[in-house]
Amino acid sequence: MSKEILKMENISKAFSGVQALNHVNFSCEKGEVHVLAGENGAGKSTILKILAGLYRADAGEIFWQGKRVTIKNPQQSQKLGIAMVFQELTLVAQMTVEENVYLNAEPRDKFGLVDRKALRRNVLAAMDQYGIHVDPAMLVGELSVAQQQMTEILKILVREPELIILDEPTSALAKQEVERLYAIIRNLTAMGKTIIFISHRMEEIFAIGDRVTVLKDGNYVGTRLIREMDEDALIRMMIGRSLEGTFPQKQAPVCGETVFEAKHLASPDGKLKDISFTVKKGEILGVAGLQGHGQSELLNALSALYPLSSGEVFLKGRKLKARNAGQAIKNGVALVPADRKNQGLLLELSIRHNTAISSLGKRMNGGVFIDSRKEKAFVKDTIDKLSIKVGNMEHPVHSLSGGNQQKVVLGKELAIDPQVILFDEPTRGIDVEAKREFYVIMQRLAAEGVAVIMNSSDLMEVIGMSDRVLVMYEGGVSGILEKEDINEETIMRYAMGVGQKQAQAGDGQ
Amino acid sequence: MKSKSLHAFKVKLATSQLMVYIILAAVLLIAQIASPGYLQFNHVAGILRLSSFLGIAAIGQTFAILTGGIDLSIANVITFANVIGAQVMSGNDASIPMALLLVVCMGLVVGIVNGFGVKFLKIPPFIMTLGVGTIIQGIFLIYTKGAPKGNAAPALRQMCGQSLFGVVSGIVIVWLVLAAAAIVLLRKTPYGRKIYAVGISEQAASFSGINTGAITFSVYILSAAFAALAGFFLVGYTGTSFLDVGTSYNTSSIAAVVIGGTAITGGKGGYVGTLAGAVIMTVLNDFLTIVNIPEAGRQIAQGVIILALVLAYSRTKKNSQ
Repeated sequence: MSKEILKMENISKAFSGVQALNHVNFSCEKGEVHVLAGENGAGKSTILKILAGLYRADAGEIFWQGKRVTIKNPQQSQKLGIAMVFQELTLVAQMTVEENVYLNAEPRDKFGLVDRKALRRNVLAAMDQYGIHVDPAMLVGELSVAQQQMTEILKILVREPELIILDEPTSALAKQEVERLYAIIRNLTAMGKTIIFISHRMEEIFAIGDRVTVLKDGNYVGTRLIREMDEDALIRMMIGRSLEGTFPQKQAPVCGETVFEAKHLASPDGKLKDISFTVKKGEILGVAGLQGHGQSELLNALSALYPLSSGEVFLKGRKLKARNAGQAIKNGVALVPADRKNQGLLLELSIRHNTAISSLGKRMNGGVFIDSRKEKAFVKDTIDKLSIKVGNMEHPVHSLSGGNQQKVVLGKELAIDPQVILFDEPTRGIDVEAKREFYVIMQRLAAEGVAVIMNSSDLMEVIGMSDRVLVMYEGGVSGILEKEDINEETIMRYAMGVGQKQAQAGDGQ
Repeated sequence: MKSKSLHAFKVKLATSQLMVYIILAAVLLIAQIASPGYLQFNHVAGILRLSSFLGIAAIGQTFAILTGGIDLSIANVITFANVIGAQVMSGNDASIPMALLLVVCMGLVVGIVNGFGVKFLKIPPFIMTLGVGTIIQGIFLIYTKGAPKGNAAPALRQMCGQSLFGVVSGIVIVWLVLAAAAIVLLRKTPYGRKIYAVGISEQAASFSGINTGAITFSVYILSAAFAALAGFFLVGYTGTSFLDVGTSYNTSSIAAVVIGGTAITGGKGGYVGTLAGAVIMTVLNDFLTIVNIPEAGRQIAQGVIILALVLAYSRTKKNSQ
């Protein structure tokens, strides 16, 4: 029998009247990977933030290694040996990897100055010990997101915690990087460390977890051994219904007519190289690839938000010219950007102002003033059509949940009557129900003749939604896959650049 | 239930620009109690006249701050406008249109230089406008050789120095018309919406199809133009030109905007609040003079009161979240 390292009993927490946690129980055994699962808003982050000392529970008790403890602030939590890796990174971009790792814990020489040799020695030793390898002299700002995440994890590990909380650590990682993270996690548990893992990816939970605790609407649902579970059973615990039919049926067949065409697109910085593709009427074109191979840059470039050095874009045979996003919008090109909070929304402005901002000119009074009546009617109509859960359209948009925020972004883009709509990671961080609604809307748009292009790092989403899949590798198109080729294995092969030769050989025959 | 509606009221107070009017009422009440007769007709008329110069200058400052920027050139733009205005008018009514035209052109040129520096050279607004302000100061010192000439035309003096009917004078009407235009522009036009959007997040604004550079450029042009107007009208109030007539306006215009509830980081607030902010700033200065506090003491008291008000705001905002 393993030793229980952490026990949280009857934890309750309310935020301004809303019960975020309701008598939740949670415990961890030493050396296990314990997955915390549940939909967005289930209370996963809240309970972990209580553990990390960022929130205080209203009621309940915490036992650490058998002893009752109170955790009032992050320092106390760290002192106990609890460390949390946040979704948002806490590194200083202008400092090197090694400086970041030992920030505020630098080895000193006899004069009390930072001992740079010892610093390098310690960092390399720690990297070997945990199997994390990043160039210690690189500036963090120049690292890829995955490397930054590894650095963040290393920074936490050198402080030798007993329990490590990973909050969606893989959301920004590509497949091979996820594998590397698994290896690090296994290495840690072998050393007797305990891991709490939050994840939204099914395959991940089953690949790395020992036990899973499911929360639902702030309530404890249960804890199970993962090897005694399957995906459907887990999903039923989370939402109370089966996954079947996540991806809706196509509404209209693809016909031969080309709506949108890109020819030989390239960017001056080399992030995009000679990209050509077409989108046919009624079609959803999926864009896939490993993280950072130019997918987001491609979508932004189509909206004139990323510079192109050459290439042409045609809509229904007409050549499009756009020097900025405003002109792209006039051309009928809409973008639902990847970063909802920084690119999609003006977070502190109202739902009404956000929904209206890209199409202000459509609801004018005498050509000079915004017609408030028309605007309110338009926003109300959008809220109804997209079933956005909104108390009051004058409230700031950040008061909405992730899924509803994303629907506001979509509503704002649909208001320009797009002929091409680009979805960049449309369902990242939104709940299952909102995801499904998004899928239905995408298919409806395609059926209405709008050219739909969707980039997603969730392969199942690409496979479930796309009629064709454009796979990117190092800024170029490594393959455009049709029907029977659209499967995980083939996409991954092209995404890793190994499918290319076969494709060319195929063309030659 | 009662506490809930009270909470809602507090939220409304903190998020709207209503708060500043309550503060204005309190300030006036205190002034009346401490110095009976403060709210006399003639005195109120004088305060409104004096407020209008600050109020006009603060229109452009409100725009600049709403986009997340700031304009520190307006003090010297006001003085320069004052110098040009007095010299061109030289006490002659017929020269008013010419003087006004030249002053406004000067403002536009300064605004274009500021906008160019901020938009194309990517110089932070704080530095750019401060630098341009210093250059203007050099220019008007050379231009006047330290001794400005000329004086106000009688008509302008009439308009800015005397009451037309009741507490209202010509300049107050000009101010209220410009204020109404600014409020409508911010609230009712796409241009206004875009100013707020740029102030909240330039990246999200450009992803929404807004030409953020053009918006930024334009607010500096407006800001300098309004400052130039304020400087021109000030000739009518002072009669002649002084080389330090605008000096206090950088601080007091920013204070009026911030007291009026506009976030110094941009994107929140508006001119409705600045309007009251300008009156509060004028009353503070005036009241402290009346109760015989010397200039140095006035400055200290003003600084303390501004900080206290801003602190009070940020606290109510935090509590309401």
